[in-house]
Amino acid sequence: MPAIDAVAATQTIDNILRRYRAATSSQVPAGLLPANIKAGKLYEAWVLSVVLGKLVAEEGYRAVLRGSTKPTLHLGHGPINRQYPYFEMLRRNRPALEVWTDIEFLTLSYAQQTVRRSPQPGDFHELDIVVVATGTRGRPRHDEIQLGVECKATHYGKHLLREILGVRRELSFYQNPRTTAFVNWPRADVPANPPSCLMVFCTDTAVLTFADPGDVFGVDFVHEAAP
Amino acid sequence: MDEVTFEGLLQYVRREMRNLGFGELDGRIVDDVRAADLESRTASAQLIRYLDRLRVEMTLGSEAAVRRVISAFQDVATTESGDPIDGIRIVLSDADQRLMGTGPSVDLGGGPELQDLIGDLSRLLNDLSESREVQ
Repeated sequence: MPAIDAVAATQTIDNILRRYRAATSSQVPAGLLPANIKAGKLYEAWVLSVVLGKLVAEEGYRAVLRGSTKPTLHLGHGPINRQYPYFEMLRRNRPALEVWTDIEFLTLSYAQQTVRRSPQPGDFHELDIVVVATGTRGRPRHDEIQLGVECKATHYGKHLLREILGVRRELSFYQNPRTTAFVNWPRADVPANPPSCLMVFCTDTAVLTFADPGDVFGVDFVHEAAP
Repeated sequence: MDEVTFEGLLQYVRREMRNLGFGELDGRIVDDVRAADLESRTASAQLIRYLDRLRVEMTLGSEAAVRRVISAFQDVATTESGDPIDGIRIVLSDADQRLMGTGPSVDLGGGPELQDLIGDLSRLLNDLSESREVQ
């Protein structure tokens, strides 16, 4: 005996969709900001809280939001801008790390260029969350990133795997494991020089099917359900 | 239920989504279902994935989710002023403000209360999963 038949399923679907329509119709939209953008940013905020929680619980930091009572995300990406709020991570009451959102970093390939010039679009890439040393300014260099995090509230497919492997390439050389800035979380060592940690959080369990290439190159894939 | 029945349900839910004005959301979910692995190409797996994705969209659009995230921040961080974290803000560039018709920032929140709906959808997903024929 099935748990539900076609008639009951149809009625339930109908009921759910009509209530969803009624609930969302009564909302006053904040401008024309699309719902999927707000959803993606809320997931980014959720992951940010998870990252902060891990750094507090497993690394012994204390997290303080500077400049506001509201954690701030950005619709676009850019350099570190101290006009905006950020999280300061203190150890023994001294500032040690900072956590910023939606930041562009200067790439390894840019650092390798022999002729100095101002960065072109291909010379920096975006990360949703970065952990850097206290006082880092502008676009952090690749060797200033202690931890980079990407957040995906969507299906995780191969194009995203290729994207994150490209970010890994632009953060570090592939080398024998080196000690990271962390003791327990996200990892104590990584096969990369400079030894930055790189993580992907995703609502889709399929993200875990990409663990093997991540293990080789030092990218950690985490399934984190929506809040 | 057999796969033909699941196929009918899948087409029904998609049609109703579009009839109710969720065409843009339907399009995004269809992209997601199509991008999933081969196992998901059966009608039952496609329907379950479609509804699961809808559940994620509902969750991230709900006021309860915003409250949960703010609460999570309050659990792990303090503020410079000593006041508790009391919101989540999105900052927009000048160009994005023009495009989106907003001011310099938008605070997340003010969404609908959808917990009951999400609970009903979760139960439907469980029932549908248990009603699949063994392949």
